[in-house]
Amino acid sequence: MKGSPASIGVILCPCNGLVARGIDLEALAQFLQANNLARKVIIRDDLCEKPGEIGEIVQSQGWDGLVIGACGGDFFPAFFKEGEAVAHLVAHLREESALAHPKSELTERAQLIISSLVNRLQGEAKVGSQYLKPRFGRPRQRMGRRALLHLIKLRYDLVPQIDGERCVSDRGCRLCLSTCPTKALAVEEGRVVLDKDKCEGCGMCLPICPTRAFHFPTFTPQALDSALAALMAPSASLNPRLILFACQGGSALLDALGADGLYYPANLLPLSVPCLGMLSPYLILRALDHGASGVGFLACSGQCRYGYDLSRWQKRLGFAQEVASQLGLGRERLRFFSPQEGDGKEAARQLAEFVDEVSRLSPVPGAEAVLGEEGWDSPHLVVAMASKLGLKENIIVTEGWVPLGQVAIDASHCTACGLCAAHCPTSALRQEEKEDATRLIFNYADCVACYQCSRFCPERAKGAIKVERVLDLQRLGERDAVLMEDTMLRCQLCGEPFVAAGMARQVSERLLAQGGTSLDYVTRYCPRCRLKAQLTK
Amino acid sequence: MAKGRGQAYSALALILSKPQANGAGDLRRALQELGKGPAAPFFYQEFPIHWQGKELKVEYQRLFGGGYAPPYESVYRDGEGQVMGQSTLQVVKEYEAEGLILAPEFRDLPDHIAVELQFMSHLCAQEADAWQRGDASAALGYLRKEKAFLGQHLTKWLPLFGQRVRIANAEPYASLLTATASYVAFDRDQVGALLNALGKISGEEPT
Repeated sequence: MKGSPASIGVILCPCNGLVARGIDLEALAQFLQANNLARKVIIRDDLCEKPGEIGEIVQSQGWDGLVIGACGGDFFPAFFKEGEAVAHLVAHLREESALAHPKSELTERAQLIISSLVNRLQGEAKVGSQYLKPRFGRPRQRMGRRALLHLIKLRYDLVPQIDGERCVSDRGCRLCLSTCPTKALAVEEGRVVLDKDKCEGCGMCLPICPTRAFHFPTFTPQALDSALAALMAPSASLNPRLILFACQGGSALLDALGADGLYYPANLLPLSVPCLGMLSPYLILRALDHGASGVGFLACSGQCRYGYDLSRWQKRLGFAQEVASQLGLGRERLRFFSPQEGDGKEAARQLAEFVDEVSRLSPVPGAEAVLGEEGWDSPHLVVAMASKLGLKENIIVTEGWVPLGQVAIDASHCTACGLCAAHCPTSALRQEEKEDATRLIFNYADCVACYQCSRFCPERAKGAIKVERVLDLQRLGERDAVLMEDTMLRCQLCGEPFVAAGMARQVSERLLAQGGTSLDYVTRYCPRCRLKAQLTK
Repeated sequence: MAKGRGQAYSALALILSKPQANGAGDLRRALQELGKGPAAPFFYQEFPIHWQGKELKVEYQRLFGGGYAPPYESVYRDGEGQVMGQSTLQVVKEYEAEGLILAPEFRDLPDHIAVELQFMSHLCAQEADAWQRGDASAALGYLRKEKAFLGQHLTKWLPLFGQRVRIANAEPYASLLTATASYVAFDRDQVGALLNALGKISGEEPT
């Protein structure tokens, strides 16, 4: 997070009673102001009918960011302050209208949800215009009848941007290109660029990037982490608490539950993300680490709007479940929901059942320390969780999409050409040439199991390099393991080392096989001296 | 919308062309106009311009007249700082396609920033005219031209140019160019979105 705290304002809309029936807005406003969560809270009815008024409020109050609590919808254009957009997030409070829960509980729950949104904005309330994607026409989310009035209005979506300093496309990394479901990423002049016209803001590029070069305002791991912290902030009621990550389709389904008079338990707290595919194992596990008794994942019913195949993401969830199991927390605390289209009743039943089952398990202790910049990855988090839980045994996970790998090199086929190291995005694998030896050195903790090394190995067909997905906590501390060592041959004329012995041997063998003769030149002289040697002979 | 955008580009062209006798006054007026139009988010009310009004002409000459930060597209796009390169010829072709040629009394290069911005202003004005006439297909054509010109020229070199001026820390031009580059990129996205939306509408119900 950068700099001094941003000035975040909150506007609450009673929505003609839809929201006010369930939530005590006055008490909510008082709480948010008294606890310094928001700079100021303003209650205004029928917000969606007068979007201009919101702009006036934001401008006159000088807010950097805005959280709106309303019945739902996405009806606001962006507001600008000093050349940057004032970001806003909308808390959908409509499901509270079901009146299935006592008003005090719902008010408390709204407090948690709104403070989680305030926290998310804290680090990056003002957003540079490069993150804005203008859009005319249909709103992204479910639309109220009133929102139809604003159909042709210009509105803005947030899209990620790439930090060119971090991006390692120069090492041949194209992982994001193959992940992007809308083909919005391309390489131009050696750099990865994002085509805003195509980007739909699903955020799937975030967890796949080995160097975390993508920045997606309000959806960074930091922002989501602080949102989790706010949702799990200890208080007397709504315990035990569960987190429900919901994709856009899932969030719309939750809203629809409220509208249909159905409800889900009040201690299941939703956190809306564009697509579940953007959740890294880190975020999945971090929710547990914050003390959530259970973490649910609500996918859209039917076809994914991004055309994303969630079975790939479910392997990530599989990894997290196995970790939870080995930590002694139980894999059943992490659950995936993919409800049938239009069957809100069944969805509500499944969610209630989940909450009921998990509530019977013993509580999970809350997070102990905020992880630093280097700690935004799952291996560090698992170490922290294991030590918090006082776990003695080692944890070894090979199940699911393990975000960490062990590289093995078969020295009989490796020529020490170093292409694997040159393409490693995190430099977990590197080549060192010293005196008469060349080494391939591996740092297990830095590996992200992206398989770039094996993809670029010229001898991969012979099995010179292999990557195995495995999380082994005990080995995280291992540094600089030498996977392969070969002597360097020196040029007989100039005396400089110029080729690894294995490479020379392989080249000789191949030349021989093709009927070559004067092999000495290849192994005795460096390329610069070869001609000279031939002439003097 | 097109009319407002045209005026904004015209104002931008004015503030980035060679200051006349009353340069400071012109700049203030242009900024005021920008603050009301579609570029308002980037040229907001308290836009930070710190400079001594009378030095404007001198500053312009020092920055753009010498070799420091030449205001020509070609310098940033056609290799080692050359003028009259490939991209210059390209913009001339695009001007000609619109039936425009540079006025003989304009003693500068065709890919000067002010000329390119003025050309955008011309396209927007033509688009606005077409809308007024109710000629949607002509208006769409101009929108496409705007998108292409923004995407292939202005957004490609303005950031590099702005960076050069920022390094020189030469106000007011450093701030002006930063804001101009942001607005131009923003406008390109906006035109893209508009084309998308219009394409969908005309695709669904052909008229």
